Amino acid sequence: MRVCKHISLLVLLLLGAGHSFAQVSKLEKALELYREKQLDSARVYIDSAAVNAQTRNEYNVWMVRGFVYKDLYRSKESAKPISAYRHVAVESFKQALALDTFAKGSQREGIVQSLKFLASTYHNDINKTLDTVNYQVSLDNAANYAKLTKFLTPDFNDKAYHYDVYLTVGSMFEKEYERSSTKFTLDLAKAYLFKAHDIDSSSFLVNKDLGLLYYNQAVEIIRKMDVDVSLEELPVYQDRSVKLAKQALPYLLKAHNMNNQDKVVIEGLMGVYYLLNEMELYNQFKKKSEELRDK
Amino acid sequence: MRRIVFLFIISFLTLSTDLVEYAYFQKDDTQAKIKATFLYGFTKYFDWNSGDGDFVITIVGDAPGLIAELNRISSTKKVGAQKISIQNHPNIKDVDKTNIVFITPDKSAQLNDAVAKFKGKGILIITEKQGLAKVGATINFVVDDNKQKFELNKSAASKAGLTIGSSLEKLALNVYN
Repeated sequence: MRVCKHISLLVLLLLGAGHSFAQVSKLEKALELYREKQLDSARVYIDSAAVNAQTRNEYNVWMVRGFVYKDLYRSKESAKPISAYRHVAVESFKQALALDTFAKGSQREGIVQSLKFLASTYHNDINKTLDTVNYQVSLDNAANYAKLTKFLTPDFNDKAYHYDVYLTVGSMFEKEYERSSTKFTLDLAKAYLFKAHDIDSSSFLVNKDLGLLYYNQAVEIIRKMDVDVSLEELPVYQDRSVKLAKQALPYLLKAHNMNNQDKVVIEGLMGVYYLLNEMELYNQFKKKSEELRDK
Repeated sequence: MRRIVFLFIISFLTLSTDLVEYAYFQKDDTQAKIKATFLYGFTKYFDWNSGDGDFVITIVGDAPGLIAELNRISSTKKVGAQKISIQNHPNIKDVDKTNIVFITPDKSAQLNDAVAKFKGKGILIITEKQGLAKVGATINFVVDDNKQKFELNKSAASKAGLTIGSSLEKLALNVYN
């Protein structure tokens, strides 16, 4: 096993490092236990070395701690979307790299590979909690993935990654709003779609989703209106609905300009113009919709 | 709170086209709901000759969305003690007993026949075409500032045997004498 081979070499390094016998023993003991796969015991020794004044600034201590915690994560918490072991492993490896200021650490490649592995687990865990109840865990894992990948690969496009995440979460809440019509889901849909829009305002998908969100909200006001509403109050409902339809329009038009063959955008524009009583424009988009349907 | 599950597409930079389908627009006939709400609302502003049977609202012309909304209203609401009945005819000559007649835009040419047929009978004639409030309709739907509004013709109401209260006048976009 490659990591064990690297760590065997580490023992030789440790012997020449000139530490006090007791502290080196803790690191050596942790290594010994690690190689015997007694990870819980290894953790106790390596945690002790990590806080000791004589060894806490040692690259080797943090590297070993990273490997111990990485294996604890793999053996005990790899199925969990939230793992303290994984977090400690990442922070320990990063600390090891920070202390290895001349990039001479013999385990550097192993640490980087381990961090890449841990980053991939953050990313893969996003789907485990991507729902309307536990989505915050997905966002945390996405943020951890992006942060770690940026650390490892500085030219990583974290904005594009966050755009995808925000659009996915915003679309999820938009879909839920269509079903539940609650203010809570509406607010979250808007919040995340606008986060995506802030990153890429020229995105077809985010313009489409924001347009449809406003449009659906406009429809919802009329749909929910009680037919017993007085004729004095009816214009108030119409005002609110028209205002939202007007907010939907620029997003849907922008999306349509980017892709004039998208049926949902065309039907959304039909709906907006219908709400706005712009029947000439409604008929234009209705015709386009029918033409696309006939293709 | 309901738990709906989404999948984050395992691609760093692009989303699958499946996500496009997450966006969905509602197809409710909003204008039909607004018109139906107006029509039902108008019933509260007139004194009706409440005879036997149902309170009848007749649609002359093709308006499936409006009829569906009115049928929904009729299933739960009443006018006074009367149940509401919704009828639909292609021609005004087919309309018999009714309290309100709504003539769709494409049947506007039948307004004169309707005015003549229902003169003095306390039947409210409603249209939806620019200018018809000036030529016989008691109420005419118009669009103003992207919203559905209505105009009133007081003399047409008088000829139809209806009295328009000042509260309804205040809500109208235009009132013609």
